[in-house]
Amino acid sequence: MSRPHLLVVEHDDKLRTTMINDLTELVGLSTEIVGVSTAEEGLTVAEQVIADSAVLPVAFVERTLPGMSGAELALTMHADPVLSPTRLVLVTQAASLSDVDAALSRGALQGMLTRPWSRIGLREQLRAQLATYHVEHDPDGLDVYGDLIQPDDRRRARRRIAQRRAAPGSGDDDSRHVLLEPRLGPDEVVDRLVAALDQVLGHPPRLRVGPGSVLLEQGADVGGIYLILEGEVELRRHTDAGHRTVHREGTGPIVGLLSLATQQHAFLEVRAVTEVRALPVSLGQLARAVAAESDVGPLLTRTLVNTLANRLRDADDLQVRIDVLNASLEAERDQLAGALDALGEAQAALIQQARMATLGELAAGIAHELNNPTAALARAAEHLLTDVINLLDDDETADRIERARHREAAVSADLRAARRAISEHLGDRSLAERLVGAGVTDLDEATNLARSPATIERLTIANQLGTELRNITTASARIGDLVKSLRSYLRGGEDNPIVVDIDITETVEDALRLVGHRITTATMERTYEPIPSAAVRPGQLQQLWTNLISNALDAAGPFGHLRLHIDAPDPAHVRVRIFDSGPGIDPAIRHQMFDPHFTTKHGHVSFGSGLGLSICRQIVDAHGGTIDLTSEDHDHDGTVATVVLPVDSTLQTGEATA
Amino acid sequence: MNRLAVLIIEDEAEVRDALRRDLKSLGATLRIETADDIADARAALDDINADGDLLALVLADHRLPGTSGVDFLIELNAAPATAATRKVLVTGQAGHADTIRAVNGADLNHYIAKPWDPAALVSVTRAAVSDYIIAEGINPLPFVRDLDGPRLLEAYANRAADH
Repeated sequence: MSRPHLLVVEHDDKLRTTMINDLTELVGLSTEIVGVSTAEEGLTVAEQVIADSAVLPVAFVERTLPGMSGAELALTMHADPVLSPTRLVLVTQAASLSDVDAALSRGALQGMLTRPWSRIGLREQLRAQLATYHVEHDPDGLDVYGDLIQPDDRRRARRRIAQRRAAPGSGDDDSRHVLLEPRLGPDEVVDRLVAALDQVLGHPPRLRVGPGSVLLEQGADVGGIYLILEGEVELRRHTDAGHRTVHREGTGPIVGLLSLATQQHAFLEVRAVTEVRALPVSLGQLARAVAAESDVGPLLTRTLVNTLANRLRDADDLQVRIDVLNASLEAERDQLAGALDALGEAQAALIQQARMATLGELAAGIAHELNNPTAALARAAEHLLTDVINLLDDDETADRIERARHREAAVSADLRAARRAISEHLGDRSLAERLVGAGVTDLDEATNLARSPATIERLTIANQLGTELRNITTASARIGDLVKSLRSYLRGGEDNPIVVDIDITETVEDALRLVGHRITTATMERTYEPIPSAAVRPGQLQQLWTNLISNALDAAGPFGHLRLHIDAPDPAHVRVRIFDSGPGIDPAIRHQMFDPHFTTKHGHVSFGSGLGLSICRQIVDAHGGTIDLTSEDHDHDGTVATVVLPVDSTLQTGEATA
Repeated sequence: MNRLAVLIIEDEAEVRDALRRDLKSLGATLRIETADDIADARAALDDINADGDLLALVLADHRLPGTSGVDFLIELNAAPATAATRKVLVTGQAGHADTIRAVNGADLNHYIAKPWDPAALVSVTRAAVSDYIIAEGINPLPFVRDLDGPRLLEAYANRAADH
């Protein structure tokens, strides 16, 4: 029987010699080693060896050769039924395998040897390849290799040979054990699968690719699977909306199997995220491994189950994340809707504000325009009087007109009293009524006039004329006052400049001088403590104190008591408190007392009084201070008005001092 | 003979004067009284009663010191002596709610807005007092010339027929 042959195809003489020497050292004389320098020569030698009825278990082929490449030689031999049993080990220096993909995926390459090889690496490669070859093709030839093939190797080989000879697929009890073994972790399963595949397939070559390399394209025919040994791959899907990563951490150690099992094109793209070391296994290799090694099937199944379980968990996780995301999107949408509502309200408020501002300008314009007719009215009343007096040549009538014009407005009760008195005096109610209508209240005058009814008639008209002129003057003066207070309110006191070094106590005293005529029967107590001087608008403050003191006097009543207390609660603020002995503030009106137009003093609206507290608040705000009216001070029965002003109000208004 | 009185309640002297002056044409027929506020109105009413006269009509301002004109009209409506008295609100700014209250609670007969038309004021006064005369069964003849003549004459004719 002829010796088995080993073929070395290497263009470089030196490398070929080294390889032949290293192999000789391993196999001794048991094997014939043939070295050639091209693939074409190698093919001829291989065919010759087989033709000589010798076996050619392994060929070591350099990857880069002039002419036919190592991969092409592998494919050619793989396609030839006579040469296909020979196990082809590709010798290469490069880590990249781009031009050997076809050979790898069709199972034409059975091993890879990286140059420079180690002796141990070469020996392990040779051992595995020889064992596999002989188990599959030449069961009896395994013994010739001496020390290279150990007794263990032979035993294992014998068992595998026995399994091959038994009916394929019958399996044994161990297979169920591997599938169901609960303590077998996923990594361990992969390790064992890889070991089993190595054994059956004679240590198939590993693929090493860089990050971003595509191992399997979406839609491509799937010819095998990849076992990921190191590194990380992701499964991606191209959609109209771009690339979507479907699995990354949950990819698992095995890719391509799902498509392979369902005979479909690759559903997803397999792409390396990091540098990846993978074991490509073709469909044919897989079938062979499953048939040859009873553990492979269960291990494969288990790995697949683990992989699918991982991906399912990944998908479940994704679903939960989508739900959470949806919930938070919904919350954000609600929040947005709320914000939109608030925006609408703010806008409505702004529109209202703008409308009020327009109204304010309009009011200021009208107020200004009212000055002319009001002045005309007042002057006309004056001139009317002059003209009427000139027209008359009757001093008594003229005097009666003048008297009526300068008389205080009549009080109804006084008129009734006068009428009653005259009626009793003259004994004629109707006459008394006419006399009172003529402005007569004096009994003697009444007695004199009673004798000349014609005079009464004339004096009545004169009295009316005077009264009407007085009413015109009073009414136009009131319009003038209303216009003035309205304009002052609308302008916000811009006519009042800020003055530094003002003693606020003096502004209070000024105000007291203005309202002093009102303090007749009421009593007042003043406590002035030393206070720092301040930068304020003194004109406005005077208006403020006038309003507050007037209010307090109104509340206290004619025989009430007022107490003024001025002090400095801290060096930066001045506090003015006005206590009155009045009935306090009705809680029902508390909330509206700072509103414009609110007044409880008269039966009608008056800007002079109705805007009082509203103006007070405006002035205090402009000074950056606070105003507070309370009736809930337990030490005091009536109302306390408290105004606190900062010493330097320019800090609040940001205006330059004058 | 008892006289029929018209009471003007108005707190502003100038307005009070103007109202009284505008009703002066009725002064020969009716007793025109004024009051400055509600308390004064009560005093004037006392005077009218003391003289044996009848309060036929009240012209009240809507806003008066202390109590509102509406409150006083309601009070008059509740008292038997003045329930039949005609009530007219003269106002510059009655709130809608207050006007409704006056119509419902005081049996308000009319509402005159300030500034008023003097002719309308006189005409409303004539009609209101005529209503009072007819409702109270007072002899209408002395009032035919100055008040609502046709209606008063018709009332007189009906009165004569009843007797």
